[in-house]
Amino acid sequence: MKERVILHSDANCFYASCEMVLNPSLRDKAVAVGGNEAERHGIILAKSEKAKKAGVTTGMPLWEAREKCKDLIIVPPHFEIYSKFSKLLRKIYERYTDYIEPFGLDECWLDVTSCQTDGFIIAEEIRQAVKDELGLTVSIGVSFNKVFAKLGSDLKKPDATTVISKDNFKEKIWPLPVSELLFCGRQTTKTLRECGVTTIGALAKMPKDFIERRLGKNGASLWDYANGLDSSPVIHKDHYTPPKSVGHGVTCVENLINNDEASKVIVSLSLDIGYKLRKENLYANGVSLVVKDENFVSYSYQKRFEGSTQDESLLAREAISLLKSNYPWRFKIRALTITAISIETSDTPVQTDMFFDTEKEEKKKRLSSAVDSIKDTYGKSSILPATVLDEKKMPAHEADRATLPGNMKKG
Amino acid sequence: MYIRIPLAVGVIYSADGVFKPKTISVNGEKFLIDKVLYKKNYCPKSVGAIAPIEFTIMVGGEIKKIYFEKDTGKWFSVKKILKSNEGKSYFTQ
Ligand SMILES: [Mg+2]
Repeated sequence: MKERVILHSDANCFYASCEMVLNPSLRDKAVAVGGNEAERHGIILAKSEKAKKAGVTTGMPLWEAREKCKDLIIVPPHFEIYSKFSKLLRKIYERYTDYIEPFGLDECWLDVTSCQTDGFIIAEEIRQAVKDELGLTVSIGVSFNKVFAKLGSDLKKPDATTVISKDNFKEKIWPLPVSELLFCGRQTTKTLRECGVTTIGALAKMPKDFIERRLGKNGASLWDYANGLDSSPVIHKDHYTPPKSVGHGVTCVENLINNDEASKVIVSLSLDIGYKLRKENLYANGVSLVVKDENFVSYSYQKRFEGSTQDESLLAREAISLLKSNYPWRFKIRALTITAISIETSDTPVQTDMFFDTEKEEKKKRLSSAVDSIKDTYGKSSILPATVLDEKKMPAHEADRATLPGNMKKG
Repeated sequence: MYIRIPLAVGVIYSADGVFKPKTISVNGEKFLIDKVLYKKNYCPKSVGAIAPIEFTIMVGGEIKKIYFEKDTGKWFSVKKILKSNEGKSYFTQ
């Protein structure tokens, strides 16, 4: 097969940069996007390069950020503006290819193999166009697979292009910590460290079957990634079909005996679903709950909503009420699966988020977005609702399960 | 310090949907645009705007730049002012 040319374009400090485009007096200053200044519990959602250098981190309380960085300017978020800029970026990419696969609001993979132009030249043109036309900057990685392209875009920031070729990947990628690899979660990183593997190069040099024995199929995929063997395609923009449902299930380490225990598991499971919906810009119009009892008999319950949502607490609430009003409790519960159903993208013309207008829900959205940022930075179990703290019947590794975008499949 | 000056612009559309600014009104006085020299997607870095189109035009014997912001449907030009009003954002202008 012909060598592919894959670009991964990542907008630098996306939220903060959008704010600077709209208010140039903020340029080159320490800027953070954060919750309402008046609110005592506001936290940092995003920060500019300068704020980052001063020690401001995502998820930090506003007061602490201000202490770390005396001249920090905190602006409220404008999510509708970020989504506009995200679409404008996409329009620029579309000049080169229709194979555009988004990863969150500010990142995209592009397959430009058919362009007949050097990948580096295309990357430089895109970088310049984004700067001229939108006033934003992007970092672009150019490589022969998606995984290395993504790593490449992280190597030089902001406003830069990095080429990872078959000739230089050992020198550029292999020294990086293995945790940088897509889908290498906290638990996996820990297991690898126990095997003496801390860098991507060390993983690549291990025997594949050893890694597979220790980490299963996920390990085998990671080994492929480390060796530049990722062959997952960039999805065509019209074929990027969001999953029809986003679900998460678990077999409990011990059977659940009452609604209270089951509710905690449901809350835990829905956390992941809310996170994934927001990551992929999807909305759910209903929820389904599948209960498997100790005799392996399954019961399935569903509920449709009157609008769409990304809110995990709503999904959890509805799933719990399905359970309470339907499950006969003649037997203990062995496994639970909760699924967000009739999924639609945020691009669906009639946006019917049933809570969109109210101020309270806007706040909740901002909170979710902040919580997601913390999860992105510190891992999925870094921040949890108090309800699930004393939950003990879920397998421990569940919290670190990777959430896969598009068709990047584990194994 | 630079600010956006809102402009009232007369536009003509060709049959294929391409538009061109024809007149600009300033303080109630209407000026005819002699020529559109260039047109490109360009965001001036000195003021807040969402992906505007920049038109370089000849008007009254002078070369000027005017911008069209598709997102809001607004035309504007950019002017340097002495008075500083830092912090004035896109959302309040
Ligand atoms: Mg980014």
